[in-house]
This record gives sequence, structure tokens and C-alpha cells, in this order.
Amino acid sequence: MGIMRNRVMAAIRFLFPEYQLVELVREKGFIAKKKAPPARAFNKMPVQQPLYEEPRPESNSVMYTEKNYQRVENGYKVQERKSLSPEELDHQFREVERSLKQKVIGQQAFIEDLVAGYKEGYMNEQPNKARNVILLAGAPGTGKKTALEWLVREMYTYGLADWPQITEIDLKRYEADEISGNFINDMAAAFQDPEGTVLFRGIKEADPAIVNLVSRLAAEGSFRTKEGVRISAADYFLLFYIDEPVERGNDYGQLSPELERHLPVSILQTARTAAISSLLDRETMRRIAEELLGQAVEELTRGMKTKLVIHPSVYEALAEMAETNKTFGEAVQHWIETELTLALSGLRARNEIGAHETVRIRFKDDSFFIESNTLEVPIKARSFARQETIDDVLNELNGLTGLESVKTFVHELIETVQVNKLRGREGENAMAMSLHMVFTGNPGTGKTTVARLIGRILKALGLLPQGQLIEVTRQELVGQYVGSTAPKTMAKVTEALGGVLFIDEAYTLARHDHDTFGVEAIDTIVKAMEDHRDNLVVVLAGYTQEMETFLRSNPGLRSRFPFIVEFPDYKAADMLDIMIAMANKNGFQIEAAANEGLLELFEQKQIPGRNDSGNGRLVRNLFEEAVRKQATRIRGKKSERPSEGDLQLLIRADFGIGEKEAFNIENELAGIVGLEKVKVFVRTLEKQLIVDRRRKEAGIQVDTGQTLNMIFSGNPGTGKTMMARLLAGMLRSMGYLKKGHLIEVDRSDLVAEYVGQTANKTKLVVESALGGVLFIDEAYALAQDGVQGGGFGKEAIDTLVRLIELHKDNLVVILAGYTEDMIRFAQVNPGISSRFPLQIEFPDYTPTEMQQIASVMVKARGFVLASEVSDSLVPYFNEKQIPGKKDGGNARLVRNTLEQAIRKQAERLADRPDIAAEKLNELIAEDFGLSADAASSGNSANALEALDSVVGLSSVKEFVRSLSAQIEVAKRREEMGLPKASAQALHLVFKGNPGTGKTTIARILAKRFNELGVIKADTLVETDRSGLVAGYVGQTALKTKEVVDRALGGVLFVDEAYSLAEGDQFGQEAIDTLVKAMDDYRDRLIVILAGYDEDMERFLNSNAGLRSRFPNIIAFPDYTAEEMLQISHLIAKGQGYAITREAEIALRSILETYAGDITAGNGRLVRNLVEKAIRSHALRISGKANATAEELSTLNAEDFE
Amino acid sequence: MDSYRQNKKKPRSYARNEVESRPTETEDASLEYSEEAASQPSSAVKIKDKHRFWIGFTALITIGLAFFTHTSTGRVDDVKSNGIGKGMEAGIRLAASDDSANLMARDFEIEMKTNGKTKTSRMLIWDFAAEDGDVVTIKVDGNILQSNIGIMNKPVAIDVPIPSVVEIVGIKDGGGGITYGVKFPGAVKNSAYFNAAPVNSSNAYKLTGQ
Amino acid sequence: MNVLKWFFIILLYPIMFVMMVLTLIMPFMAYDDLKNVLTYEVPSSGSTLTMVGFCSFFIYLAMKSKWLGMPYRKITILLPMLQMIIYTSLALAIGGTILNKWADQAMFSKGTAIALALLAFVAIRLFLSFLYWKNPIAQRKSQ
Repeated sequence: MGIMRNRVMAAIRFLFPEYQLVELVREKGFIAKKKAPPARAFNKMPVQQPLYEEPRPESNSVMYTEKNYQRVENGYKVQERKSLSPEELDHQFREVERSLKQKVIGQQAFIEDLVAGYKEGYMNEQPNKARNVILLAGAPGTGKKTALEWLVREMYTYGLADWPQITEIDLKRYEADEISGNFINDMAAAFQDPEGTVLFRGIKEADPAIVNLVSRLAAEGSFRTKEGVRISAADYFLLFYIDEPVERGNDYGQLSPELERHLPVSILQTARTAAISSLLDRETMRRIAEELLGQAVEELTRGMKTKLVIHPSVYEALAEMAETNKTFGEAVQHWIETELTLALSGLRARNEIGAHETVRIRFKDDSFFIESNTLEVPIKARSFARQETIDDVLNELNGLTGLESVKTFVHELIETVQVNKLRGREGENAMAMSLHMVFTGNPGTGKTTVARLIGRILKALGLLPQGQLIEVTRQELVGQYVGSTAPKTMAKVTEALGGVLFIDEAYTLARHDHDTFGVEAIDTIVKAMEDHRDNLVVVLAGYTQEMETFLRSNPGLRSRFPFIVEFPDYKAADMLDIMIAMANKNGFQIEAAANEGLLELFEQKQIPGRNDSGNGRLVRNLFEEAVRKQATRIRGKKSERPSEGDLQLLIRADFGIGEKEAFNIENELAGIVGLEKVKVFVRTLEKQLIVDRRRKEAGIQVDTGQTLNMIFSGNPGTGKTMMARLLAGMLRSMGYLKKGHLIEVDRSDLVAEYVGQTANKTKLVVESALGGVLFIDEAYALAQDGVQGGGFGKEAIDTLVRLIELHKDNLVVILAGYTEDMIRFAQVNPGISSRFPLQIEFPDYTPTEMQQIASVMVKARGFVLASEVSDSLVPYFNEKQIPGKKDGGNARLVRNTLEQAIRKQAERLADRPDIAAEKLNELIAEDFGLSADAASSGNSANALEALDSVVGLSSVKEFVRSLSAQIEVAKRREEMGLPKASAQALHLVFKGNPGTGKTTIARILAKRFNELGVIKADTLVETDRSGLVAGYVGQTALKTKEVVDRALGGVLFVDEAYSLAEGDQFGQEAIDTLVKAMDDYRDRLIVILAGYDEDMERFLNSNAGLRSRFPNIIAFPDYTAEEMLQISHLIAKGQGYAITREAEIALRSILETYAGDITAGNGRLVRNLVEKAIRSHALRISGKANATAEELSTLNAEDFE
Repeated sequence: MDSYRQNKKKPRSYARNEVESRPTETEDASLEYSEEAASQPSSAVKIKDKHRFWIGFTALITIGLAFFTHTSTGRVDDVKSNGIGKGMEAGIRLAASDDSANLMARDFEIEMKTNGKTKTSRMLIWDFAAEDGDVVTIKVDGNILQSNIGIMNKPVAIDVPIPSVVEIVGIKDGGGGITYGVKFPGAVKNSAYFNAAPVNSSNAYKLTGQ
Repeated sequence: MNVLKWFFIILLYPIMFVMMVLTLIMPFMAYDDLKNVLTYEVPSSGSTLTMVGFCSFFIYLAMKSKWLGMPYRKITILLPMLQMIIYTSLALAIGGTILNKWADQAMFSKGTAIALALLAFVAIRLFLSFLYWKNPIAQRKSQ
């Protein structure tokens, strides 16, 4: 297929020769290029004008271009040049030397060396090698360059060289990666022509790779780069140019060893001769000045048509000036250009100097003057203008209040830069200083204002060309989508080039490590800082801690920011100054008396550790607020016209000082019922503060700072939180705390769900509570990590402990919880007990106190208590409040009962619209359910009836009656005021076979005891071994304790108690806990153990303490058949059935079969039999459709088989 | 077959400014010459001569032809005698204006070549002097073929049957007489006939074919 | 000698420039003639042949002497292109004359005239191709 295509192409190409036209165009291009234009004319290197170099007069270089243009035409001329014989060479070069010496004054030796170097080049011509490698050294501005250019021009005019110009290559301009690019292009262009002169400068700072290429070029005459580009310097003159003052070696152009310091060794070895310009003495300098000035004057007169006369004193001054800063010709030229010409042209432009007017330039008392018959203008004046800027920027900086550390830093910076500049001028290489800075400090401490000043200072010092400040934050740097950040950041950086890039809140860029955009922005900035080392200063600002994490985010960051400046918070005095300054600036005055109040106000606002107080900005906000208040105040008294002074005056009221409410403790405490202990403590605290204040007034400086952290232990509802809130307010008013707000947290707010988060979360909570009170409720929960916690509580405690220590003088922490728990909690971390010196016990409220609370609450809610209700409440509360029972509720109980009463009242009133108005808010006993009490006593009797109704068990009944009698007597004694008999242990042991009514009796007993008031609640908690013993070691105690807590105030009935003793040791543990609990709650718990006779005996013998604890042992005999019959009748009647006579006989026979069998189950047996009978009866009746009611309810014999 | 390849391509790299192979000074960088191929001067020059020879040859031929066949120009007076322009091309212009023409109206008889199949001839008629808006009608064997034809300097072709008598009747004289020239391609004598058609009378051309 | 040369240059350059433009537009004029002859069946004035002659003469001059050819060398491909154009327009002119012969004297019938013209055109073009194939002006890309 390919061949076919080729053949067709060939045919087409044959048929249409036009195709060849196309190829021709492709080959030679459309416009025939002229023979390669003489490159040298246009490729003269853009001479990089170092400050110290003598600027070559631009005019004559133009003239040369036409000449050499014409040269290209008569190209033939070069070829004709015959090689000169030595004599001719001598003659020519002598000519050249002579004319050169006229041109450049005072450098005879230098010129001789230079000319000798060139002549040497022509003498021994090695093929393919550079003609000569000459080293030019000497102080800047001593005319080296000018001499060289004149030399080449002279040689050209004498036909020695075919090119009147030198090519200059500044090596330090090429980066390492530009070798194959720009460097080679320039070199190729430079060595394009058959021969010429190439000057290399900036060798010291050049890239090593480039330096060794050049040295190879100088040594072997040519070099080849990796890409195969070959540069040959055959019959070229290579010159290495240094601008440092060097003493001359011996006379024959040998190299002085001292040059090593300025040139890399490789270059030094290739240099064959050296021409070193000597320092110019005052006299030659004067002549040079004269000559330069002469040129300038001639130009100016031509340009401005005014006659200029130079007073000799000017030359003298110029020479002296050049001498001092060692830049010789350059200094003079510089002065002429920047100051003289500008001044003159300025005056001429404003035609203060008329045309054809003679102007004299004189030097008087160390400054130059332009005098014409009409005016006398100092020139010097303007050039110093630039100097002042540093000073006025400085006194602007000093104008800033406070920030001493920053000011010292800036002064230091200025000194170092000045010295650096001087060192630069001395000739040593100026040490490149990187000036990047990090400002850390709280908001409003003047970071941005200082950054702006830094920009202007650096500009004034000449370190930054423009010194503009570009302020950026995160959103200006970070792009929306991937990859858009880098260009956006670069745009900002380039905008800031030559000035200061100020990144405010810099830490937002690296808040967390997977914030790719932020990291990308940082990398770009770091790269940019590296690239533009000398004309970009980056200033970062942010809070102290956040900046630490930010600087750690990129390893290169910390090393790049040598200066880290800490902006301290303003002291109150500073803020006052700022306030006054700000007021004056806006034309306001502040009433003298207000200063004192303001100081205190600032002191109040400024909380160390909390970083959002606002510093500078706070002052401004306060000021604006004051102005607003003042405006309202003045508008307020419209009556008389406000006098002029008033309008501008800010008085104390405007700042919100003065109306400080005197906080008296008493009416606050009065509001609290009970809690005497706490009140006492608070009063002592207050007294101490009063004494403090008196000391302060007396001027005695005493640090009475004390840690006020407290532990409130007590049952819930005992007013812990209320007291904490009150304390917070009180401490604030006493000036102990600045803000005095209460932060209420519990375990969930402090502990986080993930590892490591807890510390952070706790820190946040504590910081939010700074300046106030941190109230941690149920604090012991933090320590109880055992089952559900997961160990973070501990971490929270540790952080808490550390933070308390950190902010000890403006944070009060109050821990609250149950008494024992709090004690156990204190052991968890040793630091706790020492940090919480004040332990305050919150006792439960006595019923009377609760009643008072109730009345207070009722009044607070606007209700009225009926008279008889209030005193009946006390027993009610007494009834309710079970000592030791944790969730009794105390005050909360009162509130719940109250709310319940209100609800009841609402019901009552709702259905009786006719109630009188004022009765509407009255709460009567019925609402509180108090009246029901009588009813409850009513039903106590039926407990005894229930007891009697039990079949059999006469001994048990006997015991119970004796017991209740005893208790009744005790109660009556109590009412009579006789000493109360100590509560005797009422724990019981029931022994008997199953089904003998042990549980029923226990239930009746519980109710009976409740009625007697022995126990508060008639609850009966039934449990057995499984309820008490848990599966794991150590859990049993807890489980038992839990069960006991449930049974508190009632009866705990443990069935088959003997089983606890057998089996593994868990049972034993349960028993021990039970025994312990019985002792602790002797008067609030009754334990009844039940089991079979022998087993119970064995059980009681197993533990010595058991028998003594259970004084009353009741035996439950088996039921006789007769009793069982009675029971069955009872059960049947209960269910509405009757037992016929023969059924009774059948039942008796069955029961007799069971007599004596301990597994018979007694009562349960009878119940089972009766239920079975009912089932069979139902079976029998269902078959007969028309059974009568009577048949339906009688059981007969066959039902019982 | 085309092994003759002129390897003139220069290496594009910087060798161009290698000091040794600097471009030769020869000025004439005319394009046919491959100026760098100094190494093979002979073939380049040969090519150039070849082209120059042939262009010169064509110039010669064409100019010669032009001279020999320049019959196309003619004058009024050399046809005035009998109104016949021998060998003149159709569309030729003899005079700048009508009045200098003052031709006599004549009838002609033209002998046509008949090589059997051509039964018609494409009569060409044009105004050989100034286009003054003369209008004629053409009648063949008495019946009008085309009426009111404005005759312009540019000839108009009309097919006329052979053998026939073509009458050209002058309709409107734009000034200085209706001057027109006519030619019958396919006539034995390759000549053009010049005539003036008097208003509302006609000239007849008898076309005879053997 | 120099003065003569200068005189020549000043006189001839404008003419050359005109001729150059003329050469460029000649093929289009010739083609236009052909089209007119064919459509109106009227012989055309047939002056293209002479113009071809003159233009080729000038090209010849340009190639002959360096000085005269100076303006032509400004554009690398100018001369070869002009030559090609001249040959093409020559072909067209000859075609034109043939057709004229038909239009004027009906020397051959219309069909034969057209065929002959085409034949002439192709012949000359072939000659042109052969000439440029024989001695190409730009090297041929390797196959």
C-alpha cells in the first residue's frame, strides 16, 4: 500500500512542479534572508549597569552602530588586513597607548598593563586559543571600563581590531538551569565573529557550572556543552572584570596572591596577565571631576542655552566626596547625573533661570549651591530628602503606644541593615540578609500597623524597591478547586514583589494537615520566598499557639523566618494612652475623673489567657460606644442647649463606669433556706475581701490571691448549683473574678468519644469559663470509668488539673457530687484534693427547711398556701425524705410536689367554675394529697385482717402481733417525749417448706411495718441467689448493693437464702455485702431470709455474724390436711366456685396421700389441685349446653380425680 | 531513476556559526543556486542555465509568432476599395469613428467551404468603428432571423444556413452611418467584409456552398 | 560602467515590477479569453501570445544578469514561479489561438478545436513537468 502511495506522490510531484516551489519555500523561507547580518552590531550585551560602574556616555555608542553597519557592506576590507609585523605592532600600540593616556587620567600603570596585554595577544598567536586572558581589577569608578573601551576603539581606528566594541557578559545573571538556554545563546552570539574582545563580569557570584565552562574556554580556547554546542574563542581577547580594590602585585602584570579572595581559583589559573587600576589620589580625582564636570556643563549649556560657571571649590568638594566613599569617578558621575542636572533642569523648566543667563555653581558650608543673579538654590538639600524618610518612619513607630519589644526589634533591624550596607560599601560582599518575620500575638495588638511600617522602613533603607504592603488572608491565597491555588498565590506574590507580603491569620492556612489547598499555598509561598530572596519580605501574623502549629506544618518554614516577634497584650495604662490619643485625634476630651474608672475597666476586660479580649480594637469599640452614649445623653436633656464644651466632653457615665451596684451579701443569702455552713463560708470570704480592699486603699501591696476551688458534696437538689451561681455573681462583684459567669458542665461536656479529643474538649470548656466559675456536676462520674467510661474520664481529669493550675488566678472550679463518691473521686488524681482546698458538705434539707422552701417557692410562683396546709407539709416531707436514699430529691422533691399540687388544683378548679376569684391561686391540703394521709392510716387495719385471713400459721401471727404492739408502744412513747427506744433489729428468718406462705406473710409484714412507720415505704423487694450473685469477680458486691439500694426504706425478702452459702465464694461475697448493708441501714431496711429448716440452720451456722443478726426466727409448719381444706375453700370461693360435700371428701383423701411429703408444696399443692379441678369441671360443663348457673359454679367429686 | 539528488540540506544546528564553516562571501545568493552547496558548484549552475535557456527560447518563439501573425491590425482605407478585409479577424476595429468610414453599401457573394456535414455557418457581425448604437435586423432568405440587433465592437455570432441569402437591414443609425463588419467562418477565403447598411434598406450576402 | 548600470536600474526596475504583476495575472486573462471564445463563439483579439513573449523576455533578462534580477530575488520562489506561470500561460495562449482559428475561420469544428487546444495545453504542461523533473530547483524529499 505504501509503495502505491509513493508512486502516486511521485507522479503528482512530476506533474505539478509547483510542488517544488513549496519545498523551496519550506527550505529557504519566503523572503530571501540577506547574508547573515553582522550580529555583533545588535547583540551588544545589555550592559547590566552595576551602581558602582561608570555609565558609558550613551551618545557615542549610537554613532558606532552606523559605522559598523557600513562595515558590513564593504566586508572585503577585513580580509585585506595583512598580518602586521612586530615593528608596526609596536608603533600602532604606542599610538594607542598615547591617545588612551590622554583620555583616562591618572591610571598610567593600568593602561600600560592593559596595552601590553593586548599587544601580547597579537605577538604569539596560538591557533584555536584565546589571544589573551587579562584580569581587570581595581576600585570601582577608577576608569577601568572606560579605558578598555577607548583602547578597543583606538585599535579599531588603527585597523588592529575589526570591531570597535567589546561584548560584555554578566555571569551572575544566569541561573544553574539556564546554562543550555540563555547562557549558550549569549556566548554563541558573543563569539560569532572571527575575533573581538569579550568581557566577563560578576564572576564571584556566578554559578559554579558556568564558571568552570568559562575557565575551560579561557584555558583550552573552546568548550562543548552537553547538547553538542561548541563555542570557540579562537583569537579573542577574554577579560575578567572585578570591582574590588586590590593592591598591585609587582610591576610586570603578574597576579598578586590577594586576588584569590575575589575570583574562583579555576579562573585565576587561566588568567595570563592582570591590569589593576590604582586608587586615585585627591589630585587626579580633582582632575577627573573637572573633566567629567566639563563634559556635563558643555552638554547642559547646549541643552539649556544657559552659561554655566563652575567655581573651583566644587571640584575640590567633589574630589573629596569621591575620595571618602571610594567610588571615585562613579561618585562624581552619580552626583552630576542625579543631583546637578536634575536641579538645574528643574530650575530651568520653572524658568527661574532665564535663557542666556549666567549661572554659577558654588560649594559653600558643605553643600552645593546654584547661584544666579536672582536666586540661590542649594542642590544638596534634595538629595538628602531620601534620608529623612527613615527618621520620620521611625518617629511614627515610636508614636505607637506600648509594644516596647517590637520597637527594640525594629531599631535592631535598622542597625543591622545600616552596618550591612556599610560593609557592602567597604568592599566585602554584603551578606544577603533574609528579612522574613513572624508576628505572633493576640488580635488588636497592632500587628498590621507595624507590618505596614516595616514595609516603609525597608523601602527607606533601600532594601525593598517599592516597599508596598500587600495584605492577604487565606481566601485570597486559596483557590476553589484543585490546582487553582498555586497560580492564585503566585499572582499575589508577584503583586507583592519589591514590597512586603503580609499574611494575616496565617495559621488558617494549615489548620489541619489534610487541608490540601492550604498546604499547597504554603509550598508556593515558601518556593517564592526562595526565588525572590532579595526583593520580597513575607510577614506572617497570628495567635501565638496557632502560629507554633502553623510553623511546624512545613519543615522549611521555621528556618525561613529568622525573626519571630511576640506582640504582648496592652497593659491597662497603654490602653488608656491609646484611648486618650484616639479621643484627641477625633476632637474629643475625656473627663479627667474618668481615667481612674477607665483603668479599672480595661483591667476588667483584659483577661490573661483569654485571647479575644481585643486590645486595641477593644479601646476603639469602647470609644465608639462612649460617643454613642454621650450622644444619647445630650439628646436626652433637650431642655437647655448643650454648651459647645459639652458636645466634646466624654464623662464617666459614657464609659459605663460608676454605677457599680453595691453588692451586699445579706439579701442574697437571705434568699437561701438552710445551708448554714455554706453561708458561714461565704461571709468569711466577704470579710476577707473587705480587708483586702482596705489594704489596697492603704497602699499596702499584698497578694491575697488564693485558690477558691471548692468541692460541693451532697445529695441532688440540695441547692449546689444555685449556690454556685450565687457564688459566681458574688465573686465578680467583689472583683475576684472579671466576668463572673457560671459555666455548668458535666461528664458528657468534658469527655469526648475519641482518643485524644478529650484533652482538647476540656481545654475549650475551661477556656470558655475563664474569668468566671466552672461548675462540674456529678464530678465523680469522671472517675467512674470502670464499666462504661472507657478511660477518657481520667484524661479529662488530668487536663482539668493542669488547666486549673495554669489559670489559677482567674478561674474558680466547683465540683459537685454525692459525698462518698466525691471522696473516692478525690483519690483518683492526687492533685485534686490539694487543688480543691475547700470541701463543703450540703446536708439534706430537714422537713421543716423543705417546708420553708416550699412556702418560698409557692410565693415565688404567685400561689397562696392554705393555712392548714403549711404545717401538715412537714410530716409529709418527713415521710418523703428517706435519709440515705440518694434520689430523695430534697428541694427538687419540694418543687415536684408543688407542681403536682398545682396540677391537682387545676383539675379541682376546672370542674368547679363557680370558685371565687381569689381562691383560684389557693393551694389546699387536698391538692397536696395530704388529706389522703388519713385514708392511708385507715388501711393499716386491713393489714392485720389480711394476716388473720391467712389460714394457719398461728405462731407467725402471734409474733407479728407482738411485734406491732411493741412498735406501737414505742411510737406512743416517742409522742409522749420519752427517750426513743433504740430501733431494734427487725430482721427475720422464715424457715419452712415451700408453699407454706412465707412470701405472702413477708408482703403483709412489709405493709404492716410501713403502717407502723418502722419503714418509710411498703415496698417488698423479692430476690434470691441469682438476683444477688453476679457472674464476674467483684461484680457481686455491686449487684447486691444495687438490690439493697432498691429495697432501702422497705423489706428485702431473700428466698432460698441457704443457696447463698453453698457453691462458690460469690455467694459468700453477697452475704458479706448484705450483712454490711444491714448494719449501715439498720433503721431503714428489713431483711427477711427464707428457706427450708435444715438448710437455713446450716446457712446460719456457716457465718458467725448471721445468727446474731437475725434474732427472730419463725418456723412455718406444714399445713395439716384440715388447714389445706380450708385453703382450698378459700381459693375456690375466691374464684367464685363451690365445692360439694363429696368433692370435699375426695379432696381430703388426696391430701392425706401427700401428708408428710416435704416436697408436697402445701398451699401451692392445694392451689394446683383446685385449678386442675376447675379445668376438669370446665371440660365437663362445656359438653352440656344448657348447664344452669348453679351447675356452672360447683365442683363435684369427679372434678378432683 | 531519480538518483540525481541534490544534497543541499544544511545541518540546522548551531554548526551554522561554527567558525570554520562560515558562509562564503559570495554575494549572489540567488535562489536557484544552492548558495551553500559550494561543494558541488557545477550541477547547480547547470540547472540554472538549463532553465534560463528554455525561458529564452520561449521568449524568442512567442515574440516571433507575434510578429508573423499580427494581421489583426488593419486600417479602413485598405478595405475601402471593395469592403473586403483579407484574412482579417472578426471583431477587428478599423477606425475610431463612423464618419471617417464612409463605406459604400455593397452586396457580396461568399463561397463557403462545404465538407459535407456543416450546413450552417456562425455569422459574426460587429461594429468596426465607434459603437454609436447602430441597430440592424438580419433576414435570411426573406424571413427575419433576428431583429433589432445592436451591433457592438464585440462581434455577435448568429447561425445562418448554407446556401442562403443573408440580408442585413439597417434599422437605426446612431450617427455616421451603420458601419458594421461581418465574417462567415467556414468561407473559402478567410476574409471579413465591411459594409454600411443604409437605413431601412439592406445588404445581401449570398452564401454559396458547392 | 557603474553609471550605465545605475541608469539601467533606475529605468528598468519600474518596468520589471509592472511586468512581474502582468505575468502573475496573465494566465487568468488567457483563461478568460478562452472562456469567452467558447461561450460567445466569437474570436478574441488573441494578444496574450505577445504578452507571454515579452514577459518571458524580461524573466530571461532577470536570470541573465545579477543586477537586473535584483528585485526578483527578493522573494526566493519568485523566478521559478514566474517561469512556471509563463509556460502555463503559453499553453493557454496556444490553446487560445487554436480556438480562435475555429471561431474566426472555422478551420476545424468546435469539438476538434477544443480537443486540439486541450492537447496543446497538456503537451506544454508535460514539457514543463519534464523540464522541472530533469533539473529540479528544490531537492526532492527522500522517498
